[in-house]
Amino acid sequence: MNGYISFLNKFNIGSPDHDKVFDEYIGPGEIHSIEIPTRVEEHLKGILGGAYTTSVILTGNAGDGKTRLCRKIHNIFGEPLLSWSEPVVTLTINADRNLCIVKDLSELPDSKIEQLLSDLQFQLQQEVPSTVYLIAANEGKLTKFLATQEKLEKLYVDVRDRLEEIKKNDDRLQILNLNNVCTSMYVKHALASMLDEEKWKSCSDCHCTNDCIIYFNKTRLLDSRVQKRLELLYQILDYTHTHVTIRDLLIHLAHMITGGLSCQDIFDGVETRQEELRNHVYYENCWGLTMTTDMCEKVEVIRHFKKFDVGNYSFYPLDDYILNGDTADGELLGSYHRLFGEKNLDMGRKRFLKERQLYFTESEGGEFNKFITNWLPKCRRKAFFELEDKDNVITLLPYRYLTMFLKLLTTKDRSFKDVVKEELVLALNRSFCCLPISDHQKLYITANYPGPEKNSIPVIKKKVDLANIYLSVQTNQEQTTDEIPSELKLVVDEGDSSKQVSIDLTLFEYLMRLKNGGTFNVLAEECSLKISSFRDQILDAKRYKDDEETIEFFSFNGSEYKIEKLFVAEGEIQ
Amino acid sequence: MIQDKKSSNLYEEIWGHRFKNGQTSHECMLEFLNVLRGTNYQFNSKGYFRRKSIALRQFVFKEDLKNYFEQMPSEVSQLISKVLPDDQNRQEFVRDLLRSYTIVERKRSWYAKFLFPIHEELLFVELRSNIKQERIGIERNFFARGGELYYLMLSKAENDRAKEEIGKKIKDILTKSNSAIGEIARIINETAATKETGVTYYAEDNHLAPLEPSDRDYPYLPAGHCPYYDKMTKHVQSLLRVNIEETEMLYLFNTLISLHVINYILRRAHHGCTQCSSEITCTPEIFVDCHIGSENPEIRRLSSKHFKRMELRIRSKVTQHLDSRLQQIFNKRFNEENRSMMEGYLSLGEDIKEAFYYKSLRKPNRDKIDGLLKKGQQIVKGDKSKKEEIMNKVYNLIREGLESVVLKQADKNFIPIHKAIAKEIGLAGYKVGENYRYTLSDNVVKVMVLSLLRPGDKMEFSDFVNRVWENFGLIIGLNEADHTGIYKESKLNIKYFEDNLDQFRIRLKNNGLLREYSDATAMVKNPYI
Repeated sequence: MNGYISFLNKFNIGSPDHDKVFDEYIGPGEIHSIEIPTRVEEHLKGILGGAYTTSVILTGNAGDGKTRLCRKIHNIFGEPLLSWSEPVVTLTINADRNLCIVKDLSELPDSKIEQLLSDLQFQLQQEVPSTVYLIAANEGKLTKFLATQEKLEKLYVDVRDRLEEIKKNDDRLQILNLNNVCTSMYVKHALASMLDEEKWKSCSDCHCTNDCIIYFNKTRLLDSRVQKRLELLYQILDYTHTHVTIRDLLIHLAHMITGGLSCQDIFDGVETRQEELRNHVYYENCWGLTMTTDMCEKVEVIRHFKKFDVGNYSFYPLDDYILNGDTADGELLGSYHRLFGEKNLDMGRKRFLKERQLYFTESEGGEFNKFITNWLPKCRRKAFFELEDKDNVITLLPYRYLTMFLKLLTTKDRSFKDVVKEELVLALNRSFCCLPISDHQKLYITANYPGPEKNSIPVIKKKVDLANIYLSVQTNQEQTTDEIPSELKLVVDEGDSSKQVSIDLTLFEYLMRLKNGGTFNVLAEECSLKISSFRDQILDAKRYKDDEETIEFFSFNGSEYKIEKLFVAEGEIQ
Repeated sequence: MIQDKKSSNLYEEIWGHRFKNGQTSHECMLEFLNVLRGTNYQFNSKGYFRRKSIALRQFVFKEDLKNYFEQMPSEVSQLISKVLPDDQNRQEFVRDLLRSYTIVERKRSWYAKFLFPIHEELLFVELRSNIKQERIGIERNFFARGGELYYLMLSKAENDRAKEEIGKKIKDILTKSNSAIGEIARIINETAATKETGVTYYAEDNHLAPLEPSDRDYPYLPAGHCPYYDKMTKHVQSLLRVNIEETEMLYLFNTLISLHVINYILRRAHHGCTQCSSEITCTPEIFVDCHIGSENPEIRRLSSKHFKRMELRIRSKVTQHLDSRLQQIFNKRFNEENRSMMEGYLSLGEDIKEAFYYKSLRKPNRDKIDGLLKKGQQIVKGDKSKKEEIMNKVYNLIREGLESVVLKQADKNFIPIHKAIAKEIGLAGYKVGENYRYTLSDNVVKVMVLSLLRPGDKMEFSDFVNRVWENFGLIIGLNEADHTGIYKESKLNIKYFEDNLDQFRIRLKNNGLLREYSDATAMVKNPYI
């Protein structure tokens, strides 16, 4: 029996011992704690270890690691914490400086909150503060509280400006927002910690190891290719601005490894219920396939992943192999044999091949459908993680332009960026006027009224030259938290002002699909507000004065949309 | 009560004249904008100038250009040709461009078609259908309904500064953009053979009365101030401050007008509405089903129930009004001193005829009332029972007869407005096989946020939900349902209401109007600047 597996199972949301995931309950002697180095921790140690003049507010969701960070800082300046008996702890750093650590502002009574924040505001105004603060708080409650207190007006403005990135963090007050953290950066470390050989020592004595799906999962997850693919899935969350916390990550990874099974379950079922145990293979666990719908809703990562379950998408050569047999050519064939052949525990050793043989030979009957539904999605998921060539399996994700997006985030190739820029301009042109126009020489800001006879004529209000449009990668200057470049930005430069729109993966997908002939409804709901805000920004209706003499518009001449002009002058229309 | 009007409907005493079913919400907004433009964007004006824009409409709405040039008298075609481009293709451009702004969905003739007002030159009123005459007159059918009344409502509000700002903002929207297109429309209009004079409506007290005394059909609202008018101006003021493109703005404004009209109808329908003591009590109970796609039959049913209940409320207000009017008459005439019962009864008959617009009714209805009065007369003559018993018998007889007349009118002309407008803006809908219920469209969600929050402002979600109820009568979550007794009555589990509230929150989020924080706080914000 491996005690570590029971530890991992405590991450299971349904488990009564779910408290292991909350830092408040971890004592110093906890042998199984999981360590993940983060940039924000380093940064914190840096500021707080310096001149001791900076107060820090940590904000973020429940599970981002705020309390854990507070503990770590505490352990540097004071005795290692046995438990969080006091919500507010004040440590003496040196003769004239105290450090006050508040591990969770939101759980204190209002009067205490007011007292602390007033003192913070006071300290910030001193030349040299006598106390610096490290406060962990939830963003929503913090701003709401500050907004209602007149006396804390100054602090409210300081906090709000930093949160909205109007003002930068300085050496008096820093707000570190863990909501911006890209959790994909922690996948490798978390796995390394969870799969550390020390913790799996007792498995070497076990008689079931060869047939144990948990051990199988552990071995596969050590493979760097599998880890990279998993990282890619998490990166998609980052690229679509879906933030999941470190706690969510740990819960998901623990589930991927054990699938909710315990050592006892394996012992009991290894002879008789092998088929059922097999379903708890890591790639099925990844999408919560052995959990009930309710449970899936509760595990954040699974809830998001379900939107792009690779088991539901087709990669033809793979489907062909599964359903029709050995028709693939050389290299790929070898991979398939390796993946789906009889050496694999998750394939039931020979089970898959046997059932497929039956499926080939049965002319009709019930087995037909069952084989496909039983095996096809499973094989797709397995292939996603284990097939060598990444370009092949990326098609299993519903994002058609993911590769292009990834390339744009990292490339230095200017001409490639220019090409994509033109494509995006065309896409925006189409999006603004809801017509499949093909002009991409400029960015045309149009307005149109979609009439009942569907003969709308988009009138061009403004034109911007390609030369005044720039496509670049959005970077975060401060580098205090773990962030990867995850957005593009398109900037329209108008001389005296510039307007920009940030393009994440969803918006990029929407635009590229539109440019390549897709229909206007796909992803329209998610993106329409951003697009129309961008348009309104550029138009800037307040300052905008129409041209009184010329009207330009797109007109359909039977085969394409062309720009026509009408001139109005001296009572005549030309 | 105003005499000398062309009305024959009792319900108009409650809601105003001329509230008639059959006008789309677009037309209502067009009508309003016509009025506002005709008053030079001022409220509380005594009249408004109405544009016919015949030349423009004939040019735009005739089947095709060839047809147009053939049918028009030669002076007209010459004038038009002079101002248009020489090339026929380019002439088509001009026509197509203007034509692309056509609004009206149904198949109508050119004199009843309208253009989306991206510029004030594209605004014009409805014309009379009989155009064989030399002079093309102005029709008051579709354009003499909600729009004029909406103008009156806003005029009655007490916040003068807001009204001024609204007038100015709407003027900006209708004149600052698309000036080239407006210019084109103006040039074409100028080619009209006869100079446009329009006909101005002049006003008496609060109403817009006609210049010619013979035409007695003018709009009016029931006397007295309604605090909701003030709220309406606040909403409009807030919405117009948002900096977005004018087409979208006009769409949103359209939705807001419709929301206001529905609220007005339901508030007046509250049995306690008597020139207002406390506004909270008359807030409608529009229980909205916020789910799309996902199934929640309990909430659907509850919403259907309330839809019906609101319709019934309108109906019962009509009967309540009927009752109070009739009782007034009976009490007066049956208790007069020094008069025999028969004499009293005959005067009563005259009173009833006057109160219920006998002269303006159609023959079948008049006959009906005559029949009732005659029967009543027989009872009074022949029955030997006590006075009170006779009075009761006669009262019940007449009341029943009148009720059917009055309700028939209301059912045909007024009550369907609530359903029709709600459906148009997405506030009501139905699943095949089920009854109508209150739903929620993205437009309505957007409009509510933009009218309750200033650009850039934020508000906590539960605060917002509460304001939504106070201002627009929509009930979504447990708090408001509890407050109004709906929760208790429904006997449903709390979870249903919480789910409904959740859906509302998700809708706001998907429209970019709400930001969620992890600690269960959510802030609604107006994202425009």
